[in-house]
Amino acid sequence: MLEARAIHHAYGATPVLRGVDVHASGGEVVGLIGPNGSGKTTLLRTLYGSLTPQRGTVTLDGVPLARLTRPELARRLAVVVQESTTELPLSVADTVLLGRIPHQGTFQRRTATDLAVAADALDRVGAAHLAGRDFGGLSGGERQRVLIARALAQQADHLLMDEPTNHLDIHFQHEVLHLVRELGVTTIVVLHDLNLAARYCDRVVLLDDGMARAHGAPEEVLDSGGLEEVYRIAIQAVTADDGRMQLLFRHMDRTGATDAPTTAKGRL
Amino acid sequence: MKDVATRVVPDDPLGTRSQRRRSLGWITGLTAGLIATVCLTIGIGPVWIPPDVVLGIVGDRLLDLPPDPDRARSDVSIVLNVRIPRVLLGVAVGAGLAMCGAVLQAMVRNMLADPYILGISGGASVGAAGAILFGLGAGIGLNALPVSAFLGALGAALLVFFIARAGGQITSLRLLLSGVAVGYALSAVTSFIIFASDSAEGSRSVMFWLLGSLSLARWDPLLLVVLVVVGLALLCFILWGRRLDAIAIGDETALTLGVSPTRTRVVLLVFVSLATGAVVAAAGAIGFVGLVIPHIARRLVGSPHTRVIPVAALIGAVFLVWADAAARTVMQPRELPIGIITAMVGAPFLLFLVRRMYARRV
Repeated sequence: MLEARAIHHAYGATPVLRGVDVHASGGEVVGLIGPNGSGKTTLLRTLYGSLTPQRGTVTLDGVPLARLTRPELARRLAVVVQESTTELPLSVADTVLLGRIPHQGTFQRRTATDLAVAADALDRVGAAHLAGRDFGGLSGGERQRVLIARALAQQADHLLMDEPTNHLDIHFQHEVLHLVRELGVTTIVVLHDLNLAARYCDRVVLLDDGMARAHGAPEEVLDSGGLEEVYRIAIQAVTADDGRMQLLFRHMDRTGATDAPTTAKGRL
Repeated sequence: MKDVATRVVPDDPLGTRSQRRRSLGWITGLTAGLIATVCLTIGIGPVWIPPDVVLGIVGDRLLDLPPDPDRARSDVSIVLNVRIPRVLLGVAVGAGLAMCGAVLQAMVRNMLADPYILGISGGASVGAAGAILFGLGAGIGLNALPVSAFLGALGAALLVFFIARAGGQITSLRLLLSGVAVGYALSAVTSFIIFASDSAEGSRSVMFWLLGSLSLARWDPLLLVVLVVVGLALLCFILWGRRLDAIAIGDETALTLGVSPTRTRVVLLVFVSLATGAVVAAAGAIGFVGLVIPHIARRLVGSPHTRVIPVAALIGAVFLVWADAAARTVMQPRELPIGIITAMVGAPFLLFLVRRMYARRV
């Protein structure tokens, strides 16, 4: 179980996280949602030890992150972050093989196991055919799948993802999250799209101004009045034909008045 | 990258086997090329000595046989005391500059980086100019120039390191900016030293040194230091190649792969500084090798540094030894600074590579 308790953190005098709790275990997918600047990415960074919170603890199966070495942590917790671009042309196979670094010692050569695990990871995300391609030349959806394969190659039982659906078309947004669900790995994922959170997460945590405003099953959190207040937008929950909740949005100004619908079809 | 793309076949799903075969092929070919280069270039110079004579002289010496009476004694002396140390130094300098360039380009994530972005050549020039014009370190005799250049290089690297480290972390951008700033400041100091000196001959020597030359090579501790330091750096870079791949992608990604970006940079910087410092102290600030050769190596074997580093080192060694052979022959009896040759060949080659390699990407 990955658990963060009472996390406080400030950049300078500006508090970013103010006593947030979040946990994930047993193969569940937990969504972190909230408006821009609500502290989602900062919270995620504390969860993988890139940022040490000023107060609060983060534990992995009961052990504080600070007690784990970096390679130990990387063997148990994989992360898909927003990748910075590199000018170095790396092939897809080499990119996925980077996921084996935590399992390799300095003097160790790459083993047959490393190759088999990486090949299997690429296969599981349906990207085996891309192995020889240049990573930089892939489409957004293909890249995201390869990065998930790299995370899988780490053979970790926990996965963190920072906005994995960014810049993806609607097909790939669903493709990526569908894949995450199928993996069965305990996952905490930062999402902007509330409908994706509703459809693919077992639980969601709504962050606002550095605090967890709501926490629970998507239907409870997303159908509450709190969401409108946090996002400052008019929200209506409807039921899709498969019985799942779907949210519709309309602009709301500071006084709380919403845009008038222009056509009957556009009425919320 | 298409050139290093791998074919996906069922028993080699990642294409790594064909990649490895390709890399081994290049390493074997280049090693053979380096051996041939060494045998041939030992004979090249104001006095031409055929390769069979060179091999005979070296063989006699290695097997401790009495000298062949048919051979000119001057040939034996030229081969053993002048050319061999010079070619060995060329191998170490070329390999050192090329692999340090590859490491720094990955470390600061900038393809225009070369071993001198840490201000090392600037520091070495201050040391060298001080030694040539003001007799700095005169007490240590013949080695005053390389020793003060080496100390200058290490001093500059340390300065860059501490400026870049402010705040506990070394980021690629901070390293790049502090290296450039310190480099400019030290070049200004060198120019000032030259300007303030009255010796026209001394200024000329500094200029010659700045453009690089292997003419100071001889059997002395300096040669041994350069060979050992470059050898150790090569080993370190290959062993840490995978970590270098990780930080080349991004610090945050490296961290999630279990690689500490700051610790990796510190270890690599120590070896880069020592290797570049030793190379610059022995041969001056030879440009373009560290910038261009890594690009050629990547074109041949892709980007993973466990493959790029040995290939870059071999190409660098072959290239520099030939460039030095040209330096000592094209304007006989005068010797051309080797930096002129590396720049003349390197600059157009870099332009060609940029057009070919990155046309599709940028």
